[in-house]
This record gives sequence, C-alpha cells and structure tokens, in this order.
Amino acid sequence: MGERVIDLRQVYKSFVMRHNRTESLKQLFIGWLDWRRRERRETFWALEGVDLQAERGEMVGLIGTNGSGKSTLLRIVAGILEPDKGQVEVRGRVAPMIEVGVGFHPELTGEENLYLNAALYGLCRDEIDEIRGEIVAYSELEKFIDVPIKNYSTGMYMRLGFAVAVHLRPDILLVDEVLAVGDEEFQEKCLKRMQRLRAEGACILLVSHDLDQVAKMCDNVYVISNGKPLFRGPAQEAVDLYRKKVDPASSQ
Amino acid sequence: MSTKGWIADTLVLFRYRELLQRLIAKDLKVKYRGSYLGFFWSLLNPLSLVVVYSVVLRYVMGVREISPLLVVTGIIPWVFFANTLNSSTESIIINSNLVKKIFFPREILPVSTVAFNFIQFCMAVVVFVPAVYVLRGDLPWTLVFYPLIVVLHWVFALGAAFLLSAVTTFYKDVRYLTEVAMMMVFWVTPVLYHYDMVAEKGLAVYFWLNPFSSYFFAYQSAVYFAEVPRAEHWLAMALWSTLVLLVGITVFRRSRSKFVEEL
Repeated sequence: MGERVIDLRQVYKSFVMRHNRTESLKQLFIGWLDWRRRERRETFWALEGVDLQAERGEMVGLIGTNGSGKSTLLRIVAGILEPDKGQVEVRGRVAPMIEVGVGFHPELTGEENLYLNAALYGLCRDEIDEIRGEIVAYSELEKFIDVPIKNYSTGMYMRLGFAVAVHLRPDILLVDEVLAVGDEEFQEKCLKRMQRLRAEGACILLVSHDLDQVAKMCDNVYVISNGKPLFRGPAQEAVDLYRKKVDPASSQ
Repeated sequence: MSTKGWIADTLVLFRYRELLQRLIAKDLKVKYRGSYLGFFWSLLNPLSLVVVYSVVLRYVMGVREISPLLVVTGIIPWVFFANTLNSSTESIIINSNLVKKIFFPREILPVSTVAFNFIQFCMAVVVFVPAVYVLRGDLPWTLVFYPLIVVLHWVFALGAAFLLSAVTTFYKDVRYLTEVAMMMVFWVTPVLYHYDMVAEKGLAVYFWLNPFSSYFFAYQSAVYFAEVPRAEHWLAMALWSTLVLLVGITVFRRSRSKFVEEL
C-alpha cells in the first residue's frame, strides 16, 4: 500500500479537428480547385497541464462535464493515446474498462469470448486457464458458457465482460461510466467487487457522473473543466465544488 | 529507429501470442462455423478459376501453352496472396473498436490477417499436391524448393500487409485502389504464363520491374518444369521480400501511435 502506481505530470494533449476532412483522393482534388472546400485544421486542446497521482489501494474519482477531457485522460493512463507533452508513469497491469466486453464477437461462445477478451489484456494461456473458473462462477453463466453470445441478454453480456476485467488481477483498474448501463443489482455487485480489488491493493480510477456514488466511494477526486485541472482533494469537497461551480444544474 | 526498438517490439508480440492465436481462431470459426461445406468453400474459388482459365484460354482461345497444370501452379499461390493483400488493408480499421479501447501491440492485427490467410493456403496445398500428381503423373523432386519459395512469398505478403493496413488507416481509398491494382497485377504477373513465353517475345526485362513476378517464375520452375529455380529469381525474391518487409514495418512503426486519432 502507498506505492504510487500512476504519476502524470503536466500532461497536454491536443487533437486536430479537421473541417472538410480529406479522407479520399477525390476530396484532395476538390480542395485544389475550391478553397472553401479545402481541409482546414484546428487544434483543440483536450488536456492542458493535468496532473494525476494515484496509489495502490486507492480509489480515485474523476469528475467533469461531458467533453472536459476525462476519457482522454483515462486513455492516456491506459496507453491508448500518447500525450503531446508531459510525463506519464504507469506501473503494473492496467485493465481499462472503457467499455465492457471489448472485442466480444457475437458468433463466438461465452468461453471463446472470455479467452479472447482476456488475451486482449495481454494474458497468456496459463494465466487465463487459472482464472477461467472464477470468471464463469462470478458471472453466473455456468449453464450458458458454451452458447454463442449473440443469444445472451444484455445483462449476461455485461456480467461476462465485467467478470473478465476484474479477474485479471489488475494493478490499476480504469472504469469509465460502464456501470451506468447495468441495473441496480449489477451495479451493486460491481461496486462490491471493486471494493474488494481495492482492499487487495489495486488502484481504481473511476469516471462517473453519479456524484453521490463518487463522494461515497472515492478517497481523492479530481475535477476537470475544459481540459484544465480545477480541483483535487477529498471526495466530498470535490463534489460540493463541482455542484456549485462547474455544473450548478446537477445539484437539483 | 534503433535495433533495440525492433527487438523490444518482437518480444512484446511474443508476450501477446495468445491474443494472436485467439484472433486467428476467431476468424476461422466465424468464417466456417455454421456452413456445411466449411473449408471446401475456400478451395472452390481457386478451383473454379483453374477450370475457367484452362477451358477458356486453352480450348476456347486456343493458347496451346496453357495447361491445367500451369494454371494450378500459379493460381493457388496467387489467390491466397491476393486475398491477403486485399483483406490486410482493412485489418486496422475493421478492428477500430479494439484499437480505441484497449492497448495491445497493433502489429498483431495485420499479422493475424496474414496468418489467417496463410493457414488457408496451407490447407489448400494439401489438396494441391495430389492435383499436381494427377496432372503430371509424378511428383517432381524439385518440389523440395516449394516451401522456401512459399516462405519468401509470405514474407513479402507480411511486409505488404503492414504497409497497406497502416496507410489505409489514413487514406481509405487505398482499400479500393489495392483491389483494382491487384486485378491488374494479376495479368502483368506470370501467374498464367511462364518464363519462356515471356522471354520469346523479348519481354523478360520488364518482369524485373515487377516485384511480384520472381515468385511465380520460381513456383513454375519447381512445380511445372521440374527444374531448380534460377539463381536470379532467388535473388530477386530475397531482395523484394526483405525490402517490402523493412518498408512495411518502418511505415507501420512510425504511424501506429496516430491510428487511434484517425479511426
């Protein structure tokens, strides 16, 4: 406990917004003839000088309005995006849950998808064999594990996807709003599991719009607004500040 | 572009071998599950081409040099090679949901496309060898060179897959351009005609400009003529395969960090 596993300092990330984007040769030629239809580029700063530190056994919340840069930040921690500037240090296995069941193919069975999904996170065969039983038991899909998942209900699909992600023994779990889609029972189960992971020493980074949940569960919370860091500190304080300053509508 | 980086990348690929296997297995299962004839469908395409070209070229158009054996020799490697290049253009964009949501070595995607097609090619060869026996009446000893030509040819395919998958991510046209180009390459490459037919007309020199041709000359030597493939064809194959692989990997490595933003 206490070991720092995420350390981001002064991270900047820009995206190039392309108006009349040249995606094909036809558009390239049209651009030569007609300047109004030429590609124009505009740089948009998604993150400007954001810091983020998190330790083992800590649950860190990330709140901000839509488009404030939360997901971009999460993707940088996951290694999916590279920042333009700044220092990124992430130690250990990262399990990003930006979406539950990434890479699931409807024609494959639950079992086959389980292996494919776990392999996407970088596990080898032996490691997956070892956790297979736990995943199946946790997702309560023993009877349906050899059925193509196109026949699964949304709930079954979600349970399987979530079960894989939390059984990878991640050092860092990134959760991006995925809980919002499940029913209450599912959410309850996920939250319990996340608490357990945290007790076992994992670091959890939670992006959520459910402010009460964030205030209740997280230790530290970062508030981001328009890509800029606004506040970092104890959860309740952060949520109060967010309600008052960033999004007054949310307090009603 | 250090050697250290290349070695590190190869090691990462090794660590993700389970993913590679799973992606290939997924492609195979999705393709054949639920179809009665399964893998037979993958053979039907080259087989029908063999019949059509043999009948039309030899018996309808009267090209006496064309024989079913010559067509079989060229068509089987061609079909799977062309399929690889055509499908590799899509291997990144078709998996955009994975690329955007999880970090894993992006090289896995074109590699799995190539491997998926290579496996089907290998299964086709199992049928191809008896066909050669039936059409020739024997199996030439020069078939021992066949695996080496195959390896060089598929190194070329792998390099091209790296290049095409990366470039298509930025310019979607490349997908359609590749399809048209492969159709043209088919006729300017000695798939259906052999070296002597070209040399007679004084055209041999042009085939040095075509990176695809030496492989087919070599296949024909080993299978059709029962000769050791010529030294200059070995040299051309080695050079083109190395060049395409190096260019492919370099372009891929330089552009891979931008894939997410382009998808």
